[in-house]
Amino acid sequence: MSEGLIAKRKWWEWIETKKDRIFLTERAKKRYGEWFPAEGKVVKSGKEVLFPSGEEMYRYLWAGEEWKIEEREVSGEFSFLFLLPCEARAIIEVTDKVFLHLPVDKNYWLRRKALSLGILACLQPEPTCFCSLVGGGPFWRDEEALFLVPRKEDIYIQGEGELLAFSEEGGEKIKEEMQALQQEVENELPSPLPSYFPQELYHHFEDEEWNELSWRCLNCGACTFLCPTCYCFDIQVKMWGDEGYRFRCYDSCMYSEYTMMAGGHNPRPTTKEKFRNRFLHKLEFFYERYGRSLCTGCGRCIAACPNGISIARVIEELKEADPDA
Amino acid sequence: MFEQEIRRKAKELLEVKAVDLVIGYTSGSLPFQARPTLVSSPEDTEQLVWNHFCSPNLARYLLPYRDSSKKIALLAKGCDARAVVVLLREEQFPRERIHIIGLPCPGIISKRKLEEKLGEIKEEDFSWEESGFLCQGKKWEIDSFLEDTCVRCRYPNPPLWDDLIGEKRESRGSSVDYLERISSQSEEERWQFFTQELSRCIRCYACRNACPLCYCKECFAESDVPRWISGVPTLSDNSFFHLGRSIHLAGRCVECGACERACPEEIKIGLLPLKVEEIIKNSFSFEAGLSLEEEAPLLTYKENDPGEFIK
Ligand code: SF4
Ligand code: SF4
Ligand code: SF4
Ligand code: SF4
Ligand code: SF4
Repeated sequence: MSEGLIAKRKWWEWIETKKDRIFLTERAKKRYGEWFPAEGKVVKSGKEVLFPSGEEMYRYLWAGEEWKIEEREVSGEFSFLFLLPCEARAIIEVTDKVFLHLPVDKNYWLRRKALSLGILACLQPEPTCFCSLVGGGPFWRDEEALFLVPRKEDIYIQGEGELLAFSEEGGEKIKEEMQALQQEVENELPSPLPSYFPQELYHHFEDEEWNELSWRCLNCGACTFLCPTCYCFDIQVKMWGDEGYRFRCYDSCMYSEYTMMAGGHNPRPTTKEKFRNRFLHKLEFFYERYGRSLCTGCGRCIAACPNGISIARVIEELKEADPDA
Repeated sequence: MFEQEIRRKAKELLEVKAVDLVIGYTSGSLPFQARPTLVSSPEDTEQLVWNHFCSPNLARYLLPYRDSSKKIALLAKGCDARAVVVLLREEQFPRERIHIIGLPCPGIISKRKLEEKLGEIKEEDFSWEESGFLCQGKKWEIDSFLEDTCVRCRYPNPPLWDDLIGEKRESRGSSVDYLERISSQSEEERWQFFTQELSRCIRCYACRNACPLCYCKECFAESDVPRWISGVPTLSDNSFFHLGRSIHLAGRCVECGACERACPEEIKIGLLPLKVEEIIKNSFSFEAGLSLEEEAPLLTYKENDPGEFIK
């Protein structure tokens, strides 16, 4: 892996040549808009690129004697996605694990292998940020992705690929500067959750606490739809007589329909059970299966919730309710 | 701003067991935010707050208690109290189970507008006064920071209350003026405006779920036999949902704007029900949630109805 510095003007030139194939997340744009004067498409998060809110899977048609089925395949044109560390973790550590775990989700895979990630360091954590609590950090990076730190007149870059050809050696000095910067930003964020926390949560399944925590939740889907890691979907159908298509669309464990059974029974009938599922899936169930939490601390759900529900605060309150903590 | 009085009143109601629960606001999980809270013991009333950020319509929080026998007190701004009136009129609760602590409303402030005008803001740099605030060494009037939904508010004072805390206020604006800004545009411009707004909708249903009057046990948007709208947030599915919702609220919407303030995408979604209310007002001289006696035109059946198709 190499590293270096790219002057702003050179960077802009490169962006210009790639502009039709660049995706930029809303939050990356808000922070670093000036670095992307000709960005291609602004997306809510990587989810919008890899796992869109609606997607046709196959069409069917009664062809006189038999049903004809036409699969819909996506074509992944090579592109770049620039995003914040928490948003990148949502792809690399969560949706990749889910969709590329056997059986592989073909459409996700086709899009994913054509996508290069450019992780932009987070230099100004927002009041909603808590990535460090759940295993990430403002300088979190991955070997397979570019890592970038925009500065005043140039951008620090680490990784491999064509962009590195634009860079110049930064030397030892830049290494030290980066370390100091990382330290400075990390100090602003909370310290990691105790390692026993996820396992412990299971014992709190029946706690009264959930009533209080969930009371103000209205079971809308704002938090889960905007979360870069939530991956639940539903499969629905549209048909007109002899033809139609099946498609998938986002679903949310906040909705009643999500767990509604054919006979009308709903195992998660009230706000409490739905709310508890969201948090336990994020912090415990996913952890048990994949060894990491289904939350990267991006804080998007906290900003989106119309009723002031904060997962960071829920974590705090659960910790407080835990007599062993 | 009358916070102490509110706490005292809530405490008293719980102490004498006049009510089982108090629904109010407490400080939020973010700066410049207040969030709903449920208080059931007198000691806990200290957490209640009342400020310019008490945005959610608390009448919505009554709904889970429809089938219980609990007696509930709730803090109610003008629009929250109007929503309670509609719920009572629609027989969702008997009057004696609801105790309204009415609060003449100073208007909800938009955090986004604060940030747009003042840059990065911190709670500790603000000092709040009766009609404005001090910040960055200057006095600011609140009017230009109010949420759009509150700029157009005509009824800051609760039409129904058991206790009233605070001085009655003048009405601030008019939904007629507000709607005029859109009605006066050409059809094409309006089409463009709504197309743009509705294509941004992610159909999270925060608007519907924040609305105190969207209380159907099964919403048409969720029905799967038949399925009226697909789960994909396309412009046509989104429009169908929002138009359907507005029609279901005709003559019932109290213009509180809770739907619009709840929207994470900041879509001007309150405009649709607002327009429907204007039509109802012009056709029937009726406004929802102002009186317990007045008959709601679209919910009342009369044998001598002048409309042929009704008879
Ligand atoms: S749960 Fe909230 S904070 Fe965690 S990844 Fe999702 S949106 Fe971000
Ligand atoms: S929190 Fe809910 S919507 Fe999100 S991934 Fe888990 S079950 Fe799905
Ligand atoms: S936590 Fe907030 S955003 Fe999520 S479902 Fe509940 S009310 Fe909606
Ligand atoms: S709250 Fe906003 S984004 Fe969500 S469904 Fe309503 S209008 Fe759409
Ligand atoms: S539709 Fe919107 S403005 Fe009307 S009562 Fe419901 S939340 Fe309030």
